[in-house]
Amino acid sequence: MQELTRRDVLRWLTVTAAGGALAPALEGLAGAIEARGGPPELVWFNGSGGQLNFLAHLGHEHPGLLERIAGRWVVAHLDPLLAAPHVEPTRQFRGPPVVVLESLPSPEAWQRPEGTWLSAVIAKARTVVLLGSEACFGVLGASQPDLARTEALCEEHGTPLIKLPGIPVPPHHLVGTLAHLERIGFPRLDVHRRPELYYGETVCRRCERRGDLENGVFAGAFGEPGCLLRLGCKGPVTHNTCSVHKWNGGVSWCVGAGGPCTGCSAPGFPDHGGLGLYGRLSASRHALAGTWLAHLEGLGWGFFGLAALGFAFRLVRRAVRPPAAELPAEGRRGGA
Amino acid sequence: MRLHRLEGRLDLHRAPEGRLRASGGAPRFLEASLQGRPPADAVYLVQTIGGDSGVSHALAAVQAWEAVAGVQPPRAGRLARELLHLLSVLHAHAQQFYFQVLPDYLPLSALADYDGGADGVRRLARGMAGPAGEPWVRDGFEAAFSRAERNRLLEHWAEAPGHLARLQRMMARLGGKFPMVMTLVPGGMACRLDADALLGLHRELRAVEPFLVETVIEDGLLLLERHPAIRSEGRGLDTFLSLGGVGGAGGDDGLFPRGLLAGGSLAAPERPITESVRHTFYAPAAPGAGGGLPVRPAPEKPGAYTWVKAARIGGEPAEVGAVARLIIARRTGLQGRVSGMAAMLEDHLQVPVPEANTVGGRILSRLAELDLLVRRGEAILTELEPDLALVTPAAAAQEAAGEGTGEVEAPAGPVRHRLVLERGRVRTCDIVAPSTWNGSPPDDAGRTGALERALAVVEGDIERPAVRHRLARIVHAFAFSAADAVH
Repeated sequence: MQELTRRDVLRWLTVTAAGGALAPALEGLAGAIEARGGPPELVWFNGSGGQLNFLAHLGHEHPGLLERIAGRWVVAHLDPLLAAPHVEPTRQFRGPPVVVLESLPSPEAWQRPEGTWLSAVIAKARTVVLLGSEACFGVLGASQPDLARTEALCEEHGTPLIKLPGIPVPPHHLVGTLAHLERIGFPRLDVHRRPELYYGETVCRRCERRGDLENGVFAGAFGEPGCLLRLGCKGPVTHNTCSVHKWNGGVSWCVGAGGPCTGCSAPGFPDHGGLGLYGRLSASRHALAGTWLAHLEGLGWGFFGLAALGFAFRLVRRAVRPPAAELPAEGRRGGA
Repeated sequence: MRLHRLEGRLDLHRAPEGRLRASGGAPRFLEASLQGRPPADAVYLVQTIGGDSGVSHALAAVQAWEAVAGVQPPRAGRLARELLHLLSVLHAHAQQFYFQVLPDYLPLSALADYDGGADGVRRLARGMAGPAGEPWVRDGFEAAFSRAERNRLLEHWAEAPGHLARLQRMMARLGGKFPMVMTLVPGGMACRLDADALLGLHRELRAVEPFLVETVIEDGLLLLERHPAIRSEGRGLDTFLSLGGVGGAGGDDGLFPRGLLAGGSLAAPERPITESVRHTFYAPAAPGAGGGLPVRPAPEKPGAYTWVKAARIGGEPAEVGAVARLIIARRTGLQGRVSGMAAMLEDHLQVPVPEANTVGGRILSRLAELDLLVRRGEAILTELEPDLALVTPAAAAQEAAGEGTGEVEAPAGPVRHRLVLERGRVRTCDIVAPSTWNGSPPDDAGRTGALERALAVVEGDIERPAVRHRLARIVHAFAFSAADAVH
């Protein structure tokens, strides 16, 4: 199988991030990794959380993915499949492994044998990938102190950290990030440590209902056509690839099926600054510049501004110019 | 000792008196975090409890909300929900068998010995060389399968994700995506099912049917045949509970009847459902505090050893899940629908159905449901026509106030959500999860749940591989989720 060049992999990643033929690209990448030899080692740790991400990967649209891509990585540890408590602490890795954390260990968990082992693995890891919004943002089943502890551990050992948020995370985000690490290098991250490759664009930007938004056609109730903004959609402020790749083999996705985006990959999830999952966004507050709603709000503020300006002008004019009765007779218009 | 291959964290340890205790850890305090939120948030967030029971929890939550708001979906909406739910049950049963149960009988090290013709299995073998090659993986496994049988099971294991993907695609057509469906709303479902969508669902169900009703069941029967001890091991309780409604339709429309079988007598399950915190890391509710308020965490409480509350009905523990559903259905005399399932169980377990509450019985009863659920799915798809209205407008539900309850049979047993809404916000949300029944610690009267009852017969050092495998087989047979139990 012909080995792909770095340029080919870059092109594949660009295609998969922006939409396009996923399957042939993945086949090529799998072959490239095979041809290269010496697959890297992967440690997938899930201390105590749900297995939404593992299930999403298990049922990924290309079942061959588990055997072609995951099979390329030496799975040193995969919590959902293990029979015994943990890998022996003395296990030697051939090189720095990549560690995927599907949940954050609690303070008690770090004190247990598997926590001690994980801490040692992170210390020598090539990269730590936090998988899922709970792990990435310390919300719901995780906590801010849990997140701070994990981040501090990575910083202490100089281990780079990547965050892949989502509930669950689109499976190709992890596969693509791992491939990027292996074939190209460390991906460029945004301020929230998310790969710009997958979190560089809002969901709204390429939503199939974008035209409805621009034309002011809004669904007023569930099941109606139109933009879902008034039903609380967080697409305009959520960065992800859902509107491009969709879900489960591209058959559907949240908004496409009539369910407003809940912003599950946004740092503000699930509270969104007090709005909650389905609270309606405000254009000015959430920087929805360029949308119809923003235009309307802009017009409104514009009229208000003009009215205020006119009133202020009248006040100033009254202050600097005396009333007509006080003017000298020669200064009055039409005076005798 | 921590048990793997289940959601969440479950530790087993021996109490000073020698009894085995199952300790569920890592609580998420979801009920408390839902207070003050709109009920729509609850329908979404309860799905984070776990992958296998997520759809069940969302259904129970939206039904509770509808009970408060006084709205009902149109028939097409109820059918669409039932289809979504039964697909999630099919997915859970198949996933649970291949990724939780089977590895208890077929070690990962078998991958290294694979000499069949499937490239996929060989590639997996190379990739899993670490865990599969570890010496401890072989310990405690009896060589029960022949080489040809091992190869066949590994090939089916490697094929299973493709079939799970098919079921996930079907759920995505209805729910937007799976896991985490997005279209359950008060009054029905937000999605549209046009002719293309229905045709796609028909096609996918037909394609996955042979795997579900033939392959999985054959593998389960082979497992039972090669491990005859599990026919009688791990006996649980003699009280069984089913709240009906696999598929969410509930009531008399449900695939399985509601019932409580206790002391040999069958009755409607109308007794109060409560949760004891006697051995749980929660402080007891203050007298007169009112039902439904989340109890305060008390991690230092003396005598406590788990975060799993003890669910009780009329003060009694009960075994739940597929085996309970079948035992109760059989007792109500439902012929035709369950007679085939019951016959299969009796033939292969060699005991009457009421005595099927064993490791082998629990595994087989879940697999026996597969055919019934597939048939029901086909019937629903035949009845649904393109572009029917799936939702009754229910704008008033946003400001609903009052109390409502939703009940659904999840893959591992009943889910009950009780919502109290005030000015359109959740005042209290009380969730009784399926694994809370089977995985419960002793209650105030000292009665334990089905899991600890089943574990009680296991003697010896739990760190020894042979004992550890026996314990794992018992736990995984319950399809137990610690994440679900502690939520």
